[in-house]
Amino acid sequence: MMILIRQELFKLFKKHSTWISLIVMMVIQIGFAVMTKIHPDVFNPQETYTTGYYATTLLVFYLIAASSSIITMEFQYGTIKNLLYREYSRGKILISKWITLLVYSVAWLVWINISSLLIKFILFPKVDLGANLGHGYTVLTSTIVVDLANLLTVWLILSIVILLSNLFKNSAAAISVGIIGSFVTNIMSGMSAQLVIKWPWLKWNPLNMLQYPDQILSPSEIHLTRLTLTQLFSGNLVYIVLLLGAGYLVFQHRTV
Amino acid sequence: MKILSVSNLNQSFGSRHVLNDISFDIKSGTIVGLVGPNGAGKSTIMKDILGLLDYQSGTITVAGTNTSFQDHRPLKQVGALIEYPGLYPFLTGWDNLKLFATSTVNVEKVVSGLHMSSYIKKRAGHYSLGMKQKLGIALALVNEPDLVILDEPMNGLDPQSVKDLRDLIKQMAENGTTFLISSHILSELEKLADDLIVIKKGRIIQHTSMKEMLNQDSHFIILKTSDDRAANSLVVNAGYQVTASQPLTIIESESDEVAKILSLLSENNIEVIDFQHNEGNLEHSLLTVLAEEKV
Repeated sequence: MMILIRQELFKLFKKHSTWISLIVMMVIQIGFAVMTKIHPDVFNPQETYTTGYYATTLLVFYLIAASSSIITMEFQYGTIKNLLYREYSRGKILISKWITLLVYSVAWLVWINISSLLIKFILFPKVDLGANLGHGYTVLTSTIVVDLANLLTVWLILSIVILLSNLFKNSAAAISVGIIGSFVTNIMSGMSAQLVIKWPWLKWNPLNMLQYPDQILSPSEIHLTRLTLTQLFSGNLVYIVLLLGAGYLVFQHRTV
Repeated sequence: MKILSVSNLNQSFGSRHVLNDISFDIKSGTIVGLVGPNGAGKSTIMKDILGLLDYQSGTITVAGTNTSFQDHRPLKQVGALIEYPGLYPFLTGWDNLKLFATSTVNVEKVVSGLHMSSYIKKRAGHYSLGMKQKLGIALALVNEPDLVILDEPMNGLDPQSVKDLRDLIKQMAENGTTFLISSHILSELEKLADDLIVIKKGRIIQHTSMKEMLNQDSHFIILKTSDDRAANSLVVNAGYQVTASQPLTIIESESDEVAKILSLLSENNIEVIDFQHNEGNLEHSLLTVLAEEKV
């Protein structure tokens, strides 16, 4: 399994797009930080820090693109045969791709947090990371906790994207569908809250689970989601496992 | 020792039955050609061996261990190129090889064996068709597998590359590597293969050695003489089978026939101006076998 993960990471780091996306991310972070420095009345320095200077929003698109293409790329380039005829089972190959995506997600998150801290110390020394935000969180701890919660909900979206990417043999199509799908999901997630009020059993729908990061900092949102934080956390995990499992079954029988 | 054994293999796609009770064994260190018309099932057999398709019934063993769609473990010592080379265009040729290679020495060896050094550090997306094909073959050979399965490996290769590949395959076979090769370039297969498996409409219609296959074909003696008409009468009267009078074409049924015919013509003062000896060739032999066999 380690060999397969190493090979997946090798491919990822040899892609120009991986490094271009890093440069784009840095430019956007610095640009956003400079804008915040110039217009502190428009952009709150403390809030922009918690968003990683816009990096966390961009990260969702990066991860959708990576998870859409990690399987479809193999079909597009015909390399799937090279992967599948070796001694490894289809299951191991797919799981190695999931783990690679997880490593990639965590690496981005670590990078965003480190770069945001650097930017803060250079441009916004007055922002107090220890300032109390209520509910037992400081600026620093809330950023970390919300980032981790976001990682979980992003993975719920990614597991849908991975399942859908089994339908495509072209990366560009899969990425487009993934990104459009994430917009649709976000819009529907907002509608979900209204539907839950009308039909309480709908609180278990996957879109409701996406409210988990918001509810961490605003516990009053429980009136909208009708679920506790533990239920939201577990719900996300269960949906991720179910969706990845469905993708696993489809991949097992996919024709080469 | 058998490196590959296929037994009663049956494969269907929906209601279409594409392989019917395919059975054959391949000995270690041999080069076996898999030939047949388009759609006969050659690539399907190869894909079944490689665990890329889920077949309905049959057994496939590699080096004595069963392999299947679900269990690929015996394929550790197998290298393959199926249909077209699968390459990552954003990686250099070197990185494509390094990705799957067990050692850098193996990469160096195969790059040198196929004379790819001049472009191996360039991105594969910029390669010509022939260069991609060579890289695909290199990927199949890079880990010095015991069994190599090549589907149309000569596609897109220039004459020098074809020769390089032929030399490399022969050298590897001498060192014990077994090859199963499908190719429509029969002249090349004739130079390479020890054995042949002929397949038609999903059934094996012949599994024989190359020598036997070629022996099935007639050998001809083609003569240009000072008097073709007289020469024709002479050989016909002497009991030889003539298939054409211009140029005079005689079927050679025994190995010492050439000497006898030349002697006969000489005794009758007919001068031989030109002489050609046509050996049986794979193309002719194969087309004859395929035409005769009613499946």
